[in-house]
Amino acid sequence: MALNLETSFATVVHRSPPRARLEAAFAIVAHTAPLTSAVISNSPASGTIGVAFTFDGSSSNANSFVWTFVSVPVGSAFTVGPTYSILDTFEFTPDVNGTYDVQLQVSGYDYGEISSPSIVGQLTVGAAASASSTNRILTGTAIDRNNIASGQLTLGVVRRKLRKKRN
Amino acid sequence: MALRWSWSFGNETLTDLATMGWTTSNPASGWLNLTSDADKVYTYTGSPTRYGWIFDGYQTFVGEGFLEPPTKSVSGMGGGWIATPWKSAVSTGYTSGRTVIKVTGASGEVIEIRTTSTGAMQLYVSNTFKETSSAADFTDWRYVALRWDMSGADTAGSWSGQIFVDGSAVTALNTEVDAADTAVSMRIGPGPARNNTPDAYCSQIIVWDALADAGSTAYFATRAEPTSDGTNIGTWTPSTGADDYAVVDSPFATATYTQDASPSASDRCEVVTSTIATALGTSPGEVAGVTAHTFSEGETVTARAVVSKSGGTEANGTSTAISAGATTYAFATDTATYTSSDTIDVIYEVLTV
Repeated sequence: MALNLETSFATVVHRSPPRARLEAAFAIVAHTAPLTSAVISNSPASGTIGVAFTFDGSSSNANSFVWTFVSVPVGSAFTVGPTYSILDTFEFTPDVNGTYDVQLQVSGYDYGEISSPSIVGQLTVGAAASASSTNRILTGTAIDRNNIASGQLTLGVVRRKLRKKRN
Repeated sequence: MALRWSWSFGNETLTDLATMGWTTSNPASGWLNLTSDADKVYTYTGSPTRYGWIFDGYQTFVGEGFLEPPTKSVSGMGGGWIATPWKSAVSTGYTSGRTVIKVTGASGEVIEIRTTSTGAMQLYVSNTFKETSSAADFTDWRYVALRWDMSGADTAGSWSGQIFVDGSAVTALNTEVDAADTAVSMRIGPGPARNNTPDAYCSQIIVWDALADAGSTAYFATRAEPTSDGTNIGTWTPSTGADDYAVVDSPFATATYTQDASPSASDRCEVVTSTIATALGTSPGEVAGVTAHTFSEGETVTARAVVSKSGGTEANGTSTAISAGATTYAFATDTATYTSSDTIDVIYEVLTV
């Protein structure tokens, strides 16, 4: 007499095996704004009448630039006040002997964009005593956030003199 | 007390945000548009690519656009600060009565900042209108902060609220008699936007957990992505490649993950960011704190997020039951003094199995 077992199984009552799957992980840093700074270097190291001279502010931590003269020698065609460049560099050709003082005003990010009035760094550079002199760097000091809030901040001022070669 | 929670949006859609535990009014409506346009995100020189949302004030049959972070970002808080910088494409003509920031108590009553058409904002405390601020020009970024209390800490037996813009109070501290309560959720948006015109921008949220905190002070919230693996406990296997950090960094995606197929209590997956200076693209003046965010899915486990400064003292998040088949959010905030040279360890730790 035959005996056929056609199906045989058991049912197990269980939970799913444990599993941990990490899909994303990152950090968010709450921080204040970076400091805005104004930096000027020059090339060449001294000026000559009729030879282009460049003040370079490209090492500044800023995103807008305004270059003006704050004083020029008597007889120069350049004038005090007007904006001569809004680039990170300012090239001009001295036209008379004397001292040219320029100012670089920079703006950083204030609440996400350039504000008006903006964060301001002021740097005045004059004529050097010798052809080998180099310009100093002005770095912004710690920002008072309350001043940022009002959109007005003046960073420190450095003045250096660069004596032009005599012809 | 101090920083409780911080958020900076990433390259994630509204659908992603919903998966990540956020509540949005209608992901398909088009009332919110993701942007990385530098003019539309709250940013600084050197920042990594940032993302934010362009809000629409109102759309017929859809309603007011808004975003609500995962409830645990504020749940249980009696008071503190919520801060979000806002900007708009226009200086006036905003849709009146729209939410800028709102926090809701367990009772359902709210403390809220609402818009007017002119850029002034209206403060509501315990559902009651209290004061209209002076107008702000939202064509520039305005750092809007709500100082709120529903615990009675400011005035016993009352709720209180106050609006700050760019660090200055623009309303008085207003109170309304109400029973002590705790928050269950918060909402942002649509802020200074107009009806049917997507033109108000918001890209970060910061929550402080005490009234004495510097909640009105402008801080940036910047994502720091993991760039290396730390020391794991247990066997974690990336869904692709050999590195955990590469499958859990931003943007969020459920398709990539690292998995512990047989977890035990105390198993950990640890990923590490670059230095803060590198991650942020600058050396910040000050770091108020770091929030680690983890998104996970699992089976019969509880876990938590953990964060530490350069692998040192750890700050633990709360234990969270991980959902099977659904992403579960957890966070931990560390208020240790981080400097530019510190790295951030983001740890996901299994607590029970």
